[in-house]
Amino acid sequence: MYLPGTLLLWMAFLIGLTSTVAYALSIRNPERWRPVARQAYGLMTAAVVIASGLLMYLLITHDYRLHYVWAYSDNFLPLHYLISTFWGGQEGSFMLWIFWGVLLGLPLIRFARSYESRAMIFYNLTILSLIMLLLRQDPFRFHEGLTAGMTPMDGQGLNPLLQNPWMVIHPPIMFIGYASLAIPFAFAMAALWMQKYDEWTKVSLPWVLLSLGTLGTAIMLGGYWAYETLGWGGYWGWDPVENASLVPWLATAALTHGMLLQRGRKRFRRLNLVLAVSAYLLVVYATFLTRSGVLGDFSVHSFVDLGITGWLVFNMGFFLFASIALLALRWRDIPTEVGDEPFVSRTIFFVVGILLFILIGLVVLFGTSAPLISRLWGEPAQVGPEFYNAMGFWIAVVFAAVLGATPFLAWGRARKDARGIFLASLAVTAVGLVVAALLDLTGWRAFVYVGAALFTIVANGWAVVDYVRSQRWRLTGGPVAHVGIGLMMLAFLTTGWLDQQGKARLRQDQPVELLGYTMTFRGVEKPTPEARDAMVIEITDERGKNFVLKPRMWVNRKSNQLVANPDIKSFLTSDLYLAPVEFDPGKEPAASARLMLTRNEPQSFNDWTLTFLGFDMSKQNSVPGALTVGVGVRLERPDAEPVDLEPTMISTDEGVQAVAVDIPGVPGGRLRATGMNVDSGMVRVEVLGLGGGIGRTAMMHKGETLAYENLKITFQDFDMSDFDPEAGKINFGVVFDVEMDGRHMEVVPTFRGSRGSEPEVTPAVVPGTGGVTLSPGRVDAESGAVQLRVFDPTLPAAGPEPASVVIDASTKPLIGLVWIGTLLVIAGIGVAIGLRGKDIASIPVDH
Amino acid sequence: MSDHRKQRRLWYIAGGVLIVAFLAYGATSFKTNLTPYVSFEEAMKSPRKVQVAGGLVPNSTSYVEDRELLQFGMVEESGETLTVLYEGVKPGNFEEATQIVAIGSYQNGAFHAEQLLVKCPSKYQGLEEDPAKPTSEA
Repeated sequence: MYLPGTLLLWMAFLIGLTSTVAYALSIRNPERWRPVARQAYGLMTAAVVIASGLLMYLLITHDYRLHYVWAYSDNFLPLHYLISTFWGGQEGSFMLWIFWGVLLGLPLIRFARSYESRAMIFYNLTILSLIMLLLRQDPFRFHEGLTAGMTPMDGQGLNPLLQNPWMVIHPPIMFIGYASLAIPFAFAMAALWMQKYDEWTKVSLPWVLLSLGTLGTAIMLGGYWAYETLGWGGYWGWDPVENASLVPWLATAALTHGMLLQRGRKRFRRLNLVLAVSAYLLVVYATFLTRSGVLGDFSVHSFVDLGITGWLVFNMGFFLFASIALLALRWRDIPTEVGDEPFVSRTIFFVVGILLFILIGLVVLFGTSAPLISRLWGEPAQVGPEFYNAMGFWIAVVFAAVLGATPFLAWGRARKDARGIFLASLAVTAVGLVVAALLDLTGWRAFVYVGAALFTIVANGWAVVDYVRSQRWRLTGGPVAHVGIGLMMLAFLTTGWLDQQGKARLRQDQPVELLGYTMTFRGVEKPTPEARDAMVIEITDERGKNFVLKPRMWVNRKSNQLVANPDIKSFLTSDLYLAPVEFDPGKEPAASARLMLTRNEPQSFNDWTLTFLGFDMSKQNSVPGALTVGVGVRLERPDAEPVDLEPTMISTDEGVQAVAVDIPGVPGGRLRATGMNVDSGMVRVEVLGLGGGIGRTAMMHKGETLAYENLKITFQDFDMSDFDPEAGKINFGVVFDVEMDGRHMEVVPTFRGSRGSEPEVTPAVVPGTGGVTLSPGRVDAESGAVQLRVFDPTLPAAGPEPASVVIDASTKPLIGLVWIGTLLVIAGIGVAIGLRGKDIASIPVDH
Repeated sequence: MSDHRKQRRLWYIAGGVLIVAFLAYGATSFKTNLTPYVSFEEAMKSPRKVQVAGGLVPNSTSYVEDRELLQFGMVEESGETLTVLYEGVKPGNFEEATQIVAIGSYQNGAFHAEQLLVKCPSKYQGLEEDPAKPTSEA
């Protein structure tokens, strides 16, 4: 193993243990032990940071001795993706989690006030439990049985779906969220211990808001990535990994509101303690679900069993036991009060809201755990998205109604002045529903849902305006976030129920009508050899507006698999989503002639003469990352000036691309160089698009005659005069006697080849026929037969088949609201953090 | 009892009824939406919605134009094969998948998949004995 890295991890673990013990001792004797505990914590943090730095260094310098570096990176990744391979695998993602965890502990120590000693004991334990996993599965281990000289030269590379800017930022933010949820947990446990059931909410609320914001952002980033990259057109699949992050977030949201409620009414203390503990336990459970392999068969993220299941179960068990024990111990001690508010008051509506959060959380939790639960009575089975959608629908409606009503309520009663605005909000909502009906919304369920969402948006919008007007900026956090939620709710329905979808095959340059747009496929664009093939599709909408979309399909070099990316055009009210399904390169026109040319030796084809002049290296760097070689060919034709043509060949690591040039004076005619041998100064060229095709093909034995039009062709014999295999010459001619109008002619096409190379066929023109050519194909030496192909230039050319692409197009109405709503929620949380942050200062440092 | 308390009682009862109704709805929804894993043979027996898992039959993926469907073959460990039809867009990593899970129902000789899950081998690999590769350059 890479000793420094592993050592640092072990050091971190042991020093962390020391810190934990020192903090425990510091409860009784703070002056003596707290500095020790803090220093130990600082050392542990340093160890983790250095270890992380080492891992990053090893990744960037491609140290493939390490299994981890080999498994997730390769030599071709650009720097930003190389950095993201840090969290590309399981060990690295735990490392990232621990990295944020130790860093977050620093401000925690600073702002924890009197809770520090006890909270840090628990906080340290959460970190140690993660480091323990890395001690079992070391990110710094080498390959098994590695010996010197067996280090791989290149790695396996990163999954192409992860080579995406969103996937670079999504995991780091996700792990800040995960790591930060340990903080309210630590505070809750400390509060239970110290029997301080009210003050702890003040000190931990800003942290709870931080978790809410970061975890929420990360979840939506994951959704955006799925939408923009994967091509199935959605942003949420109710996949176990997605759900595993959602449930802790819901618990955190419930906790946030519960804490606000506790501050306002001094009630629900027990609930909040339970919620804080649950949020963290759910994170541990989520980790168990996704990393132990129990859901391996049920998830798109499909993890394989990773060898740490036992430890994850231990973690879960430990924290569960500790939490339940402490809660049970203090349960009776916690003061509870029975409330006296009327139903229509902020308090009750808060409670309903919290209950709804918990309810949705339970629904998602049970749904996700279905494979485990159903195992109890039979085969493991999972529930599909319909379950979550069915359950979530009505919860969402009630939620929105409650959310809309709350701005009109004060803690103890409805606000007196609110009645007018309340009715006004209802009126605006009604107008909105009429508009919706005009826009073809149908179904009473949809109307109820949309009505609730609109009501929330309007009511909270008013609250924002109200606060801004009275200059109470800090209080706008909640309403802003709630407007965001309302917008998202609206978008969930419109993108889920009102989308349109269709598939079509687009042939190059042939416009097709789809979903009200006219789409034309223009061809494949690949500006540089490393670029991913993009299908250029021009689109015109009903109003005549033009734009271009470029979905992509390319083969990933490393894994040799076909990867597809959609392209999206965002309008104000909807997105047009184009996903490539299949690409058919089409058929090119058949080559009319294939010639092998040697430098300065003219060769004829029909009545043309082609001479290879030489290679042109003057433009070799014209395409970045590739070598471009020009092949100079002079073409001489009767009744035309000699012309010099230069088709090119572009070589890259992936292969050679031949670029044809047009032949002037011959519509559709092109010359292309398809092979070259620089040492011997020979090139292979093809003439394309001239028209003509194979008129007849037949296997002929000696003496047999084939009739074609006015010709009678008899295969006579092989001409072996130039045949000397020992000298390396495998050249022979095929002698045909052609009878036309009573005259006999001898026509001899030849095979020319040398050992190890393909034989070159030189077809022979039948004089006086205007270009009819005889070309031998297969030769069957045993039976002495040869395949004859009669080429007739007057036949129409085999037409090229245009390239085509099949696309899956869909419209996503109002999907922009999902992202705008998310931004508003995050903004609202940000404002709230600002408001609550200053509360911490009021808490005494020591008790 | 104060007015508020009385009012509260009513709401508690109403809430209770709603919650019980919701739980009942939830439980039935849960049960009906459970899609168990079955073998190909079992899947072919009834039109109910199930999950099947297997490997992809190499080179069997094709896009059936007139029906706008993706068609491919799956093969189980037992060797049994199944033709699968899918309306959506082919998931990423499809041909590379170590395992594919199709959720849907068997009708008219083919399995109509509503959802496809693909197991990616490269992310989060397990601890395997990977032979260290010799250097490629001689």
